[in-house]
Amino acid sequence: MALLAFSGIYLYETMSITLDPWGEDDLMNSRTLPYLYSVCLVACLIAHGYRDSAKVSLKGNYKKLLMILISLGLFAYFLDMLGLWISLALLIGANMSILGHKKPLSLVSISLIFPTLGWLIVEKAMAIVIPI
Amino acid sequence: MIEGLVQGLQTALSLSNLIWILIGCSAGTLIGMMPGLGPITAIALMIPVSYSLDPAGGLIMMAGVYYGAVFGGSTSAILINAPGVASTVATSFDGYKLTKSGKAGKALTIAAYSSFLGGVASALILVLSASSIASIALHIQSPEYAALLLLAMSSLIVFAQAGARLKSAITLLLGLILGTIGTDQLAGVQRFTFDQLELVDGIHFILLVMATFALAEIFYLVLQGKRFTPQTVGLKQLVIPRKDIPELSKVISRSSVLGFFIGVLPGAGGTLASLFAYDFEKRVGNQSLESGVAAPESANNAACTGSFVPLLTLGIPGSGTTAVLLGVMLAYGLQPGPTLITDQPELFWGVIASMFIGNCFLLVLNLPLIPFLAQLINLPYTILIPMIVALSLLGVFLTTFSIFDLGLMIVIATITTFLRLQNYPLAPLLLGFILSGMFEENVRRTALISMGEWGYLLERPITLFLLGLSVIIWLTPLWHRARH
Repeated sequence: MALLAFSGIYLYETMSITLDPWGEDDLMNSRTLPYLYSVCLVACLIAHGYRDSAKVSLKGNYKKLLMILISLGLFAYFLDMLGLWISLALLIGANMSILGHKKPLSLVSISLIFPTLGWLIVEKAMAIVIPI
Repeated sequence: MIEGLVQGLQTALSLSNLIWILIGCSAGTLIGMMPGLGPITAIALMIPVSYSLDPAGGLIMMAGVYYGAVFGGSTSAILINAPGVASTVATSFDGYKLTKSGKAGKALTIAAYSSFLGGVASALILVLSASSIASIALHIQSPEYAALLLLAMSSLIVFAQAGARLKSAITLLLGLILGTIGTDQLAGVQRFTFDQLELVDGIHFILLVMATFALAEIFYLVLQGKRFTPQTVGLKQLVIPRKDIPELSKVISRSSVLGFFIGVLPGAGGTLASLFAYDFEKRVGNQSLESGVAAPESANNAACTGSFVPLLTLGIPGSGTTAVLLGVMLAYGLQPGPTLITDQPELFWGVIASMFIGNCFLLVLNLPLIPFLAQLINLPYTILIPMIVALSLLGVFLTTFSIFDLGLMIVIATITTFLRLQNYPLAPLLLGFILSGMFEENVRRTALISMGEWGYLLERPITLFLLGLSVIIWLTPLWHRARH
């Protein structure tokens, strides 16, 4: 159903693509193939839904995944404020503890060593300037 | 030709050039192993070094960087399912399955040998046929490209696993749809950007690869509570079992030839070559996981060599990487084209000879490293997963420098995880995305040239042949059903 809704939105957006003045008369314009793709997708989804109704079976690790997703969201949110390497260190530490890493010393050292190595390779050795 | 090759070998075998090949291969392998950093980045990073060398030395080193980066990319694809470059995506399909079943060493060894043999075989073909191939490649134009891409997509759907055709078609269409996001290159019109500046250039390929393969794989592992299989790779495992050699030799030979000729086509390159070779082996080969690694690896290395044909003989870059190489050549004051072979024979043949030597260097360099590389996935689950997540994010961020793209990556990874839980194959999504822009451009250009007259296609035998092949492919299941 979610995919069907997605293809509906895509079809609507395809119809609202602004064409250039001569695009309307072209045999194929910016809308043609997206239109074709969305029609084909709807047809495939209907055929699929008719033949097979899929069920998602999950084991009990929702919470871990949700926590990792939240940590990724926070990483993206604080990236601008904290900078790449500090955010990365916090993300690694957070993910290790979410996944159940028991040793605090290795948790801290790994989350510090990886970004430090990254900083040395990327910013110092390769001289890549990170624009944040 | 023999004289030229001897001259080329003399150039490439000089001590200084041998050192530059070694440096190029090592740097390329190291950079290529990092997710998100592919051959283009590797070559771009080595440009300052190349300027300090003479043109022959600089180009020979760059050829080494190119090969090294393609091989390095396959290492991360096999070990952690994070293909840093598009051309190693197909390697990850079966390479990662071998890793999960405790055969990482075998997969890496097959990849190393296949890359080597693919590179050497294609360099031989290049020596024998450089000039005649360039003239054929000139006849491949928009209608032929469109027909070729249609054939690729048709075979992907029709020859999907039993019961997965419709799901393959759905993910292929999703990939084609994602590929339409951004500025329409032919009309300059923005599509599906929702006024977001970050979407004007479309979704970055590396972002999609990392989201669907690296990050989604991690989400799936976390959700299912699965662990990586511990790997121990001894030196004995670096030998391919004798019983596998005949079959793998056939796979490598077929894929090298296929990869080379696809590489010659401007715009096609290693990605299409590896996906075609993988697809071809799944259809006609013995469908073993080993063949699934050997085919794309030999094809993408062969395509690297093939892409030098239009660059050196016509001055047309066949891929993004060779476009950067063209820039390097122009900076040296060299004008690649039909006269390069007569005006600068030592350079032309030197680059070709360096391909043989570079591939030998790569094999010697990479084989002993395999036991150490395989140890990577013996790290505890609680350390390895955060490392892969960090590498994936770093790979995307260092490519785009966009926080928006990181958010988009997380969203796409979450959606694809749910698709995977419903057993949707994800490879067609990626293939659809890669082919989307190329397909639309060539279809619309064909419509423009033909002015809607179908009779135009009758004047193009290659197009007709490819379209006919697509029709036959679509009819195959019906024929099978009728027979049984």
